[in-house]
Amino acid sequence: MRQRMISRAIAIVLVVLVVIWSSVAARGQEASEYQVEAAFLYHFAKFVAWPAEAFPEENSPITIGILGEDPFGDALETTVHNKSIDKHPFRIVHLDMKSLAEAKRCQILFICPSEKRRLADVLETLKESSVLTVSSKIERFTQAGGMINFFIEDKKVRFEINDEHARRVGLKISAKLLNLSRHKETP
Amino acid sequence: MKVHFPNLSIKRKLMLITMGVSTVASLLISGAFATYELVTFRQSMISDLGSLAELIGNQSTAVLNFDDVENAREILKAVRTRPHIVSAGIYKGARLFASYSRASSLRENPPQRPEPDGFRFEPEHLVVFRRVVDKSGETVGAIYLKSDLLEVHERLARFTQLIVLFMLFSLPVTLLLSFQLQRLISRPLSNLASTARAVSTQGNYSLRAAKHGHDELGQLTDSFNDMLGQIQAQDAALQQAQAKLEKRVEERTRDLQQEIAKRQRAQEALQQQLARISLLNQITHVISERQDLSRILHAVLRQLEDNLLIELGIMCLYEPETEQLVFSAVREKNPKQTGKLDLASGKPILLTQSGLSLCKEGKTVYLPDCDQTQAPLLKRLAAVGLLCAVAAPLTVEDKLFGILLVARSSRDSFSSGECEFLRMLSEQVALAAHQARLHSQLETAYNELRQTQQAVMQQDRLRALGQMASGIAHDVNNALTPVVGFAQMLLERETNLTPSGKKQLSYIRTAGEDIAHIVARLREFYRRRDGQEPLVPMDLNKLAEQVIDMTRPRWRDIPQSKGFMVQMETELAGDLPHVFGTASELREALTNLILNAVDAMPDGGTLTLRTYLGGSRGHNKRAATHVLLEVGDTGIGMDEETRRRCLEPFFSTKGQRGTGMGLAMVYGVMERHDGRIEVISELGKGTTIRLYLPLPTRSAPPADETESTAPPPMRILCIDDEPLLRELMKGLLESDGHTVQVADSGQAGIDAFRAARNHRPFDLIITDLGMPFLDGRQVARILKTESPGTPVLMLTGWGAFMKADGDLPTHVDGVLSKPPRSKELREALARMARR
Repeated sequence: MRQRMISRAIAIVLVVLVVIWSSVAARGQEASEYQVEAAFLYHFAKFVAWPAEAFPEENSPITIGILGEDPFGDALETTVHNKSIDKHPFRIVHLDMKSLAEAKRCQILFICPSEKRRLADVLETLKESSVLTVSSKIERFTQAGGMINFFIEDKKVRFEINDEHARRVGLKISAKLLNLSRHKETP
Repeated sequence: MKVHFPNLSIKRKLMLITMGVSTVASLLISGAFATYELVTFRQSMISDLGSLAELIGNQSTAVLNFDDVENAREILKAVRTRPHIVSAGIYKGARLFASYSRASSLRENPPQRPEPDGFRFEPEHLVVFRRVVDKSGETVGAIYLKSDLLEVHERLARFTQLIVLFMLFSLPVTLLLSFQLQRLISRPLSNLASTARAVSTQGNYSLRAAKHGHDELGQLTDSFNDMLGQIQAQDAALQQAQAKLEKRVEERTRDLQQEIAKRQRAQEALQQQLARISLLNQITHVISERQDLSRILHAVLRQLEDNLLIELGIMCLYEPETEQLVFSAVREKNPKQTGKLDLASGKPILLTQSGLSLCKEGKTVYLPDCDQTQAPLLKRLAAVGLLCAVAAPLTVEDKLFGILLVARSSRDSFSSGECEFLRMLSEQVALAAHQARLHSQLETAYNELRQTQQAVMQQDRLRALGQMASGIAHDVNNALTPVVGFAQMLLERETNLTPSGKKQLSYIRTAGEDIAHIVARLREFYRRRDGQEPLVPMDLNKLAEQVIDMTRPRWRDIPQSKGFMVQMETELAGDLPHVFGTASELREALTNLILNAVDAMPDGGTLTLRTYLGGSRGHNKRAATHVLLEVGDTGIGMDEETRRRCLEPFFSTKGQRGTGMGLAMVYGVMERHDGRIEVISELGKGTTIRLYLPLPTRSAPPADETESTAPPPMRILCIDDEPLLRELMKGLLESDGHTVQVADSGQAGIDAFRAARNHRPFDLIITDLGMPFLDGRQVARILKTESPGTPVLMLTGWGAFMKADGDLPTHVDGVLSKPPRSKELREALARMARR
C-alpha cells in the first residue's frame, strides 16, 4: 500500500515536472516580438527618470498606458506583475482616443500601430506632458515627435530614441539606454 | 686564505658583527615591508578588480535588459585599457553573453557558466565574479574578470631592486659607522693588548695601560695595572733576592780565588826563593874564588845575566869625595841596542844626577818605568828601551861604595822577590868587593910603601941638596939683591945712559933675576905657588922665541956635536892674543918640553913648536877658548902606560939622567895657570904635548915691566942688619918719594918706632926676617901689639917658600922676596897703602 503511495507520488512529481518544463519550453518558443517589446517597456522604466511631480507619492505607480489595440495580450501584465522600481509599482491602463486625456497621467504610453493615423493628435496632446511615448513599427515616429520606436532588425527587436523630445518634457533617458538606440534603416 | 672568526682581531669582529646585524635587520625589515606590500597590494588589486567588475556590471544593465550583445561587447572592449586583464565576460543569467580576451597573450576565454560572487587567486591570476543587479533589484547577469599577477611581480621586483640599492648605499655607511664606533671598544682593548705585549717582550713591569673610561674595560685596565704593580713588586723582590744570591756567590768565588792565588803565589815565591838562594849561593861561590874587584863585578853581572835574565847590568863605584859614580863594570846582553849608552867610556856621573840618591841611604831603588823619571842616567836607559831598573846599593859599614844597577826592557818587570834577591846579592857583592878592595888597598899600600921608600930615599937626597941650596940661596939672594936693585935703579934713574949701556944693564938685571929664580927653583919641584906672583898679560910668541934662543945649544949645538940633526920648526900664529901668566914659569915649562923633545929624538928629527887659537872642541878660531902652545917631535914616542903615567912625579924613562920632575913641573905650571896639558903620543912616531892656556876674560893691556904705579908718599921704617941692603931699600924707596928711616937691628927698629910714634908715627914698617938677637917675626909681633894698625912688610930670602907654604907669619901683612925688585916693592907698598 505504502509502495503504491510512493510510486504514485513519484508519478505526480514527474507529471508536475513535465508540465513545468513544457510550459517553460512553450514560453520560450513563444517569445514573440510582443513579449520582447512588453519586457522592453518594463525595462525602459529602469533607465528613464521622470520629474518629481510625476509621482505625487513615494509609492505612486508607474502607469503604462496602452493606446489602441493591445498587441501584448497578457504578456505585459505578466512582465510587470509584482514588479516595482524604486518602490513604484506598475499599473497598466488601456486607452483609446476618447480617453486620450488620460494618457497625460501615464508615465509610459505605448502607441499601438493601430493608432498610426491619429498619431499627430496624440503627440499634440502629450506635447507638454512628461510621458515617455513608445510605439512599434510606426514609421517616422521619432521624427514626428515620438520618443522610442521599436523595429525589427536581423530578427531582433531594436529601437530608436529621440532624446530631444524626451528632454523637452523633462524626461531624462539614461545614457546606457541611449547607447542602445539605433537608427532605423529606411528602405 | 681561510680565516677563522675566533682568530680575527676584536676590531674586525666588532665590525663584522655590526655589519652582519645591520644587514640582517635591514633584510628582515625589507622582508616585512615586502610582505606587507604584497598583502596590501593584493587587497587593493582585489578591490580594484572588484570595482572594475562593478563598473562594468553597472554599465551592462542596459545591454543585459535589452539583450544587446553588440553593445555588451563594446562595453567589454573598454577593458583593453587595463593591460593586466587577461579575459573578461558578461553573463546573462547563467549564459555567457559577451566575452573579451587580451589580444597579446594566449587567448583565454571566460568559463561558460558564471560562478557565485567573489574572487579567487590562481597561481598566476586573480579571478573575480560579480553579479549584475539592475534598478529593480533583479539579478540580471554576472561579470567575469581575470587579471594576471604581473603587476605584483613587477612591484616585487622593483621592491627588491630598491632593497638592493638601499643595501648598496647603507653598507658603506654602516661600515664607516662601525669602523668609527668600534674604536670605542677596540682602542682601549688594543691599548691594553699592546701594553701587555710591551710588558711581556721588554720585561718592563713599570709600564701601565691608559684608562679610557669607567666601563668594564676601564675596570679591566685597572685590574691589569694592579696586577702589573703586583708583578713589578714581586719581580723587584725576586731580582733583589737573586742579586743578593749572586753577590754572595761572587764574594765566595772571589774569596776562593784569592785564596788559591795566594797559595799559588806563596808556592811560586817559595820556588823562586829556592832558585834565588841557589843562585845566590852559586854567585857567592863564584865571587869567593876571585880577589880582583873588577873580575868579581864582571862575574856577578854574568851570573845575573844568565840566571836573572837581565838585559843590562852595571856596577858603579861611588867616590864619596866627588860624589861621583864611576862605571866599573858593564854587561850588555844586546850591545847593539844598549851600546849607544856609551857607559864603558867610564865617564863618571854625579850621584845626585843618577836618580839613585836613595842608594846612599842603603835602600834598594826600584824604578818600574825609567821614562817617567827626570834623572839623566835613567833617561838614557829609557832612550835605549830599558824601561825597568833596580839599583841595589853596595854598602860596607853603612857607607855606600857602589851601586849594582840592573835593567830590563819591559815595564815593571822585577818582582819584589827579585828586588829582595838583588838586595841580598848586593850585600854579598859588597862584602866580596870590600874584601877585594881591602886586598887591593893592601897591595896598593904595599906598592906605595915601596915607592914611598924609594921617594923618601930620593927626598933625602933632595932635602940635603935643598938644605944646601937654601943656605946658598939665602946668601946668593942677599948678594944678588944689590945687583938687581942697583941695576934697576940705574935703569930708572940714570937718564944719560947710552942705549947699548941701558940694554946691557937690563941684561944684567934679567940675568940676576933669573939667577934668583934658579935658586928658588932648587926647591920648587913639587911645590905649588899661590897667586902671590901675579899673572900678567904676555905674548906667547915672544916667549917661545926667547926659549928657542935660550935652548939653542941643547937642540942644535950638542946634537950636532954628536952627529945628528934636530930641525927646529915654528908655526906661530900671527894674531895671537895675550894670555895671563908668569913668564918665568911658562919659560921654564917650555924649556922642559923642548929638552924632553930633544931627548926623545936620539937619532935626530923635527921639533915643531906651534902656537894657535883653539878650544877644547877643536881648532875653531871663533869659538876659541884657549891659546894653545904645542911642542911636537918625531921621536920614539910613548907606549900607553908611559903616556898615562908621564905626568906623575918621579916617573921617568931617562933612568939616572932624569928626575921625573920635568913634566910634573909642567903639569903644576899649567894647573896654576888654569890651563891643562894634553899628551898625544904614538910609539915610534913621536909625541906632541899641547898646553892649553885660557883666553883672558877681561882684555888688559900688556904691562910694561918698567912702569908701575907709584904709591902715595909714606913714612917708612926699614930694618935690616945688612947695610948694603939697607942702602938699596932706602935708595929704592926714597926715589919713589917716600921718607925712609933705617935701623940696623930689631931692637933699634923698635926703639925708632916707639920714639916716632907720638909725634910722627911710621906709615909702614919693612923688616928683614933673618936677623941676630931679635928676628923679623919677633919685631913684627912687638910692633903689632903696640900699634895694630901699622902694616908690617917682611923682606926675606925665603919669601917665596913662605908664600908657597902659606905660613905667613902671624903679625906680618906681607912678604917680599930678596932681592926686592922695584916693581914688587911698589906693588906691595900700594897694597899696604890701600889698607
